[in-house]
Amino acid sequence: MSSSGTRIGLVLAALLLAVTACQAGTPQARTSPKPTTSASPSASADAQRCARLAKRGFTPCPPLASQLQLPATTIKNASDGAVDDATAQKWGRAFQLGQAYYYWVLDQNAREALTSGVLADPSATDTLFGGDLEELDQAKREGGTLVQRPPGLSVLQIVVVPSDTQQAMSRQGLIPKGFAIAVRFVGPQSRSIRFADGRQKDLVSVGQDYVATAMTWGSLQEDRDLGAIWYENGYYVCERTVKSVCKL
Amino acid sequence: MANAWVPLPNQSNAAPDDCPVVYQGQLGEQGQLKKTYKSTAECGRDGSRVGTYAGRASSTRQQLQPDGTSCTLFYNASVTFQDSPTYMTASWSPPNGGSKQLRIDPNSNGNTISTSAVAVSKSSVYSVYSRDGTYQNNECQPKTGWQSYCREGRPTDDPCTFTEPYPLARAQSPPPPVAPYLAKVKGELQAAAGTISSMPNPRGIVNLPTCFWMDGMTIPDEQDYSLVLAGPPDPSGRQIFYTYLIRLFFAGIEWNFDDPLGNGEVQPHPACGQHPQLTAHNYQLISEKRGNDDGKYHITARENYQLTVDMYWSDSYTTHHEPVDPGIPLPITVSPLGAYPQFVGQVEGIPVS
Repeated sequence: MSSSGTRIGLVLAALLLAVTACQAGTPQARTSPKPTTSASPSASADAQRCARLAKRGFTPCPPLASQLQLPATTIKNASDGAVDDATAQKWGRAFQLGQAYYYWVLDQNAREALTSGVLADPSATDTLFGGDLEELDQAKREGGTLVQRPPGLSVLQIVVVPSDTQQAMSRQGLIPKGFAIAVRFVGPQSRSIRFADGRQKDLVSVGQDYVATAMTWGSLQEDRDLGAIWYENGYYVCERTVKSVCKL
Repeated sequence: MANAWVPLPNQSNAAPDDCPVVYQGQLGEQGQLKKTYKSTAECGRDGSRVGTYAGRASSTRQQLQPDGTSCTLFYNASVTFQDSPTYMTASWSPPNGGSKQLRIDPNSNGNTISTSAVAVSKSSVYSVYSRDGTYQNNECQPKTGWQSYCREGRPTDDPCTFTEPYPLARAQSPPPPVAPYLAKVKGELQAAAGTISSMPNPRGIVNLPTCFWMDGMTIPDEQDYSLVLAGPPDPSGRQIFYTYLIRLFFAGIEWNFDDPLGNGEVQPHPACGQHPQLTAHNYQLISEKRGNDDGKYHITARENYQLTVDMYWSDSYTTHHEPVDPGIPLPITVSPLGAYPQFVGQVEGIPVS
């Protein structure tokens, strides 16, 4: 759905819902009721955060970064000195946080959060989230909700993107970047559609011996509502010419 | 980050040689086999070459309000699109009558009608109108006429859009058969078979390698073709455009020297010079003993070619790539018409006296 201003009626309704949900889900909202005109500054800030995120497709209101459980992994610096270790750790943690929000978005079936450009550049939506959007649409079409078991991240490392790989990115209409995070994903992983009557239809499932590697290029972005996330501009599977870039 | 992000078996996974997505009008003529020197294909964005296309029907919506309060009625006018080779046309009917039309840049991607080219490939696009009213009896009773609605306050001659996902995937516009085009590639190959030449000529000599080569082979070591085929229109009128990259590789030549004592190839003598597909054979018997009516060896050659077909396409979600079974026996073999006659004799001694 577009983020155009023409959707103001729907957005207002969504904001209202989101603000309500956000207040109900925060510790501040559980304190003694107060008139809305004298809401505590933190509750008000939370409500504003929720309202802003609702505009960006995040409904219901997502937890604060400090409340999210990050996917466990080992962060390495494979940039051959192009970035220092502290920066590599910072970027790696930003990737973990972005990934945690991404899993939250999928758990909520919040389609618009994937297309609104919050987690990734909109020009990379198709390549990064095309499969997700297709499965979310399928679940909706069949009257269910998408449920997932995300993969594990056994290791992630900061790598330098060589110029020929950056040229390939440009050719494909994606914004090239000089650094990427290469990730080794491990099974088990699954996606399925869950129906109201408890039935479940498997879409894809791999076992614990499944291992796959890919890299996502992008940059650190301080998002006022989500925190410092690795903002993605695209991804490639670590195969053929990309394999040597990933170093995994 | 997606399940696309996490590579899974049997799924399209992103790679540097994936097709970039372009306006389908840029792909060139449909159904035309074109020789290409690019190793990558371009994918056409969903659109139509057979007529107009549009998303879901026009509709109204309203805000729910307490009675007696002011309200706004919205009208989503469904926009119809038509693709031309270098531009697109958007047309719609406002709720107050008449019709509107705009020419749009096929590569635009914004939130007004004039920039809705990319959005319509995967969504229903509406031009939005609103009118103010008062909420009475569970309905917004209008007080004003319809006006183009745009929160950003853009000029009304380029209305803002409301879009909702209306995806198109392969199942709704499947690829047409590619076999007839591969038969054409095979036919062109047959016409390009060369002719056999030899040295020494016209008389070879036993126990001295006779060189053979192919002249006039017009197929290089590799010839690539591109082909664009459109799937049938879905209910909205949009089609998926399938781009095929057909790679034809020369896979060697098989010589038959018509020699009952063996068909081995030997190193050509430097005096034979440089020629395409140069080889040599050492005959040990004169050709008159071969038993052919003309007293010559009948040499034949069989050129082998391998063919691979890759299909690329873009749907409302992402780009895809998969190899296609050509459906013809491989390798493709072509031979020059008729056998090449080679006389092979022996050196006659000259009496000295």
